[in-house]
Amino acid sequence: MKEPVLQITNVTAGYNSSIVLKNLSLKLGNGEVMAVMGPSGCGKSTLIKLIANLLQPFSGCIQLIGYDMRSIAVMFQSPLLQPWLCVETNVALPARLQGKTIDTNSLLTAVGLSGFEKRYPFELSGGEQRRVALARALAQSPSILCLDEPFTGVDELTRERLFELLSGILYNQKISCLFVSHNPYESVFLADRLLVLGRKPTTLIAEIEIDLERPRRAELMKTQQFYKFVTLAREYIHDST
Amino acid sequence: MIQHKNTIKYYRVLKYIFIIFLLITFWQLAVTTFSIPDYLFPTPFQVFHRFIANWASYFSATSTTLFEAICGLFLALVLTTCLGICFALSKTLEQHVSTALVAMQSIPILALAPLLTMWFGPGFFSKVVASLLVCFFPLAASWSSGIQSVSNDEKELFYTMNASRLQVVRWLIIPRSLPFFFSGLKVAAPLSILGAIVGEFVGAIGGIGFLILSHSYYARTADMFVCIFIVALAGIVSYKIVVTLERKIVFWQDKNTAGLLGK
Repeated sequence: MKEPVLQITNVTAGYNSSIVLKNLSLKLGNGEVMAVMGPSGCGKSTLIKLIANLLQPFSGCIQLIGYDMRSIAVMFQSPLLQPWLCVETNVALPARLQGKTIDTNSLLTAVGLSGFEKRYPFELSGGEQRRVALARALAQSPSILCLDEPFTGVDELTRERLFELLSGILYNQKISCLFVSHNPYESVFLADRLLVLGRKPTTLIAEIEIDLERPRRAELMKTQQFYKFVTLAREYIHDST
Repeated sequence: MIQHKNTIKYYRVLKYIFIIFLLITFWQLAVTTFSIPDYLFPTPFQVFHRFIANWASYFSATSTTLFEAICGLFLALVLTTCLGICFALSKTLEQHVSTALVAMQSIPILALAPLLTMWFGPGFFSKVVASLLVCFFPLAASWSSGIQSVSNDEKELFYTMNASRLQVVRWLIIPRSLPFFFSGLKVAAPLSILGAIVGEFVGAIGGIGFLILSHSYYARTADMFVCIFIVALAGIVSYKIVVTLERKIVFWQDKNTAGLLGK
């Protein structure tokens, strides 16, 4: 495993007195893409909140190695764009909050939205809105990117394009990424390692190394090797429920 | 397309003119047919005649009242916006002040107006305060609703972008609350005129309220009708101004934003 940038040790967490995650430990390597899957309510989003410091654990330790909290960017389930700001300003928002300026054009080009600078979020499709949200997350120049079911509600074809786009960005920019998903295709396509969580109170029940070559293209999803990993992931998820 | 829109607009204006014409005709016919004395119910012609004869005094009184109302509304806007920012920064403050606001709202302005005249005199300032008090609750309540409409997901997103609390207020809470604020302003703008008039009823040296009261002493019903029409017109105009501003500033609110809000 690559040198870790994030280490979670024996974390128990939840809301009020209800425990969602119990004694969870994991490590995210530098430049590694890790997918977290599991049944609904198993604490996948809670894990993202813990890493992003939006929730404090009851016990255990979350450690960033060589980075601070400012190196983490989060992309939520809904794009959460500000409808009163144009695409360009939405993307520049994280930098503006820090009193910095950034080159929004290069970010928008990276997510395939060049020429959309002056449009408003309500003028964009669901897939385009998610691309803007991704560009905004990248505008934070993160070392660790956390994605909480980022492509939910997007049609199949757009989703595949977004997988390819995200995979390319993560590979080229060497960003460590932890994302939660319900979709085994998405998880296998994007991840280097896939973790399957069990039912509440959640513990880690399986860990799958996905040694598919990078950079990954959409054609990969038609190969037998890819399908083998999807089947394996499905079996574990089935067992976990 | 633009031509089609213009045609619809002209058609709508014509429709309103026709309805007003019908109402005036009905009013004129009703008063003459039933021989209602003009001190009880004047004809539209008499009302129009009084307006033409005394237009200068009406203009002066309207300006006085509108100036008081605008000052009251402006002060209410400033105060409630400051209060809104405080609400956004402290939920506890919002909970406590909201209760006090409801209590304040339940006191009728008519009961307060004599006190205001005693404290601030029969001049300009007591009317401004009356207008401010009337506008205060709808504006403060709308800020409060707007602040509550901000989803936790949106706040969390800002925290992950390392935004300070003031930045969350500036970049998220205030813009998100604007549609609610404008709903409150649509109520408050016509109410500000009402507040100024109520203040003038109790003690004044000018303004529409003062005119209504003085005409009522001499049973000049036609003049009172003119005043009522002016007040109604001012209310409609103020409402329309707010609606126009709302369309320009909160242009995004009618669009399909459900997916963007995380709701």
